[in-house]
Amino acid sequence: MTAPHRSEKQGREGVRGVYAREEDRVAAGSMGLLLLLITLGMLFGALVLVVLAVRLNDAAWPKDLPSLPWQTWISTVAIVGVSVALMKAVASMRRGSDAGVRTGLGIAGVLVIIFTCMQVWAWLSWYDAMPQWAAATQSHRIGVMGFWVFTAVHITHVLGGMVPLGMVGWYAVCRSWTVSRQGLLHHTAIYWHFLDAVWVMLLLTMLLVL
Amino acid sequence: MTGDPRPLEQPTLTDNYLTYTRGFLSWALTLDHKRIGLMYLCSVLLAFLLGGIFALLVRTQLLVPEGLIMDQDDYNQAFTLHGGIMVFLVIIPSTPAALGNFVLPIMLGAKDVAFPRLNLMSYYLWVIGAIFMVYSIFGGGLDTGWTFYTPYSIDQNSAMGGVIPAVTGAFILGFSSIFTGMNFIVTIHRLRPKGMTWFRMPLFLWSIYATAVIQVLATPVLGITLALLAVERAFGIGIFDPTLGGDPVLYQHFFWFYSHPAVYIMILPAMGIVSELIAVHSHRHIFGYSFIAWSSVAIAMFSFIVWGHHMFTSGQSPLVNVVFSFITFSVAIPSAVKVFNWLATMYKGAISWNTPMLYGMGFIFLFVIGGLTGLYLGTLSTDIHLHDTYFVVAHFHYVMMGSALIGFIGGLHHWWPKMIGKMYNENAGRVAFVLFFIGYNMTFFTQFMLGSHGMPRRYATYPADAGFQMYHIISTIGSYMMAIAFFMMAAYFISSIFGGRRAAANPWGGRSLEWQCTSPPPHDNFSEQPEVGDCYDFSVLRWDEATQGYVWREDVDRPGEKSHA
Ligand SMILES: [Cu+2]
Repeated sequence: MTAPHRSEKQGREGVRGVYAREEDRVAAGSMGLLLLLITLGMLFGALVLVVLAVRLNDAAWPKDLPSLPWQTWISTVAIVGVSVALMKAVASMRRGSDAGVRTGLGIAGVLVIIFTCMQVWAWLSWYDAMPQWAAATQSHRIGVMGFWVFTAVHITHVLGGMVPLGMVGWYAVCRSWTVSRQGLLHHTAIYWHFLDAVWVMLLLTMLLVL
Repeated sequence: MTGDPRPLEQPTLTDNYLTYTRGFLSWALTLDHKRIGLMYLCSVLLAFLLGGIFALLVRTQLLVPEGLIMDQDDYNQAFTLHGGIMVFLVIIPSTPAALGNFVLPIMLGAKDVAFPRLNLMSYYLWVIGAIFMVYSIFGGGLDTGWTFYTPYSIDQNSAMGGVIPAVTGAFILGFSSIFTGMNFIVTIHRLRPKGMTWFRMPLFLWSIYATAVIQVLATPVLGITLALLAVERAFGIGIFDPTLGGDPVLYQHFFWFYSHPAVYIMILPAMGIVSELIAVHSHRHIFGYSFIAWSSVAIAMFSFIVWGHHMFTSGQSPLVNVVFSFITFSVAIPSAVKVFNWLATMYKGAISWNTPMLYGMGFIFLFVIGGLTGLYLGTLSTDIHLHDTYFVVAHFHYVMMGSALIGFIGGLHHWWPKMIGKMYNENAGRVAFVLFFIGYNMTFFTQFMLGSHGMPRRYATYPADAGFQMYHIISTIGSYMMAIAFFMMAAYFISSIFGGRRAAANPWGGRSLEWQCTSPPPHDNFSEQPEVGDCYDFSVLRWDEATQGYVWREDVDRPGEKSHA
């Protein structure tokens, strides 16, 4: 048997061949996504728990700390909207409606940008307001810093989620769907539902605890 | 017939994964799990060399009571870096990422792991994490101990500038470990071949699976804890810093919620290797397969509910201490189940005294010492005396080095012929083992004495009249012996690459699938997915003098083959 030609070898160097069928690859991706969400769930769960522990051990918690910037509420509406729009996109894909997929993804993209801009705006106003709370929170720093920590950890995951969202958006624009690309759309939607749920959990913690 | 999984009598070296494509980029950008495993192996061994140098510095310092070579501050940095490098850069990735990457897909008869690109990314995350970790040496130093305990680590004066780079490094290494774990879980679920049910998997795969579950569940908790530590130090967020309303002991809880399970991330894969070594080199069916398999899962589950045993002296309530102490003892049950099953496997087996087998037996011996001395530390009353003494140091080195690292080294000897296609010098291997084993026990058994006599850990000096010095001298000589043994290993491994005898497909007589492809394996592992039988039934193999390896007996049918004509 003669060794295959070099270029042929390079062509075979890829990931093809691990799965017998495209559907198997999508199924493996679903499982990988599930594990990723479990990991991230542990991460956010630990974050909330550590803040809760500090707060519950603090007997002299200062009253009337600053309330959340109003931009936060727009962010909340926006990220819930992302979830809804992606649900619509996935449903359209199942129906085979290309236009519906594009509309859903378009709306989701716009809402993600709104979410991010509102976050930045909220940070700026929080930053401006911090000095006036400095004295009251000197020995209860998590009261003002918790907002930074929660939103910062969350937004890194939002930024990460923009990558697959951009990819499926590109497939939608080019109208080039394959089985595994459709799988990616489905997975992207699930990831954003997760980010949505995490946001609500963090928001409730900030409202009720900090 | 094409795709016959029968071991080739004349393995060719022309089309294997090592020579399949050439050039730097064909390695740096490879998606082949075998190459990634080999890259991990080289990187981990380099880190091991670095961590070992710090260990030798620490041991040399303690030769004399007033300290031989360093001042206190340098000593603090030396043991911190020794611990940090050995835990995060060496032991955690050693077996899963280096050996697991190489062996796991082949054992499954798969072409690769489930997500080859993610696998390559894990490797580069390791490299980036390692760079951060090592940078901490130059970026101001790190003297907190590998645990980064608050408030030392947030004290701007004492812990110096190395905390943030080191913690960032550990954070990145954590994600490398998580992605490897995810990859392995999906691979085992999705890419098992026809005929390989869960209870027909090689036990190494069970242990890797249990490990991966811990990696996915526990490592993110360490990740967020270290991230919070870094921002606490940088900005003062009031979570761990008591002057800002935080709680330094809270850090210990979250740190050990990961780091106790991390002990099992380190030792479970080694236990899996030992199950393979003992069975293959005893040529006897593994005893109590399902007990060994389930005990891995049980250990993984227990690992999440014992973290408080690191904090008996931290002011936890007595009730909490009692509960953690009790649960800690129950870990002894699955551990002992494994040990008894290994012993029962060897009993009446035809033991081949190959180097990997020596490590397998060394593991059992050292793990029993490490495990039993853990009982003294899990007992509340004795722990008060032994806490933060050399007894703890000796105990965890018996578990981490004497067990986890020994398992890795045994596995390296076991699979080296498969990875490289060459046999190392067996006699040199045996001599190095004996040297290592004696040196090991000289180094660490003396530390049990030191600890029970009251020598505290992490001290750069000790009183001259306390009777500690003789133990320290023996301990240090032992560590030099181990260093010599490791250099011997490096020498015979490297010389085997150039001058070693060509390895047969199955030099030890293993039944799992990796012994059915050539040594080294071809790029695609198998041309078609092989069928599997009982991977511990060695009665179907016979020794073949011509190829110096084991081959299938002619009078026995292969799984999936039509009845023997
Ligand atoms: Cu522990």
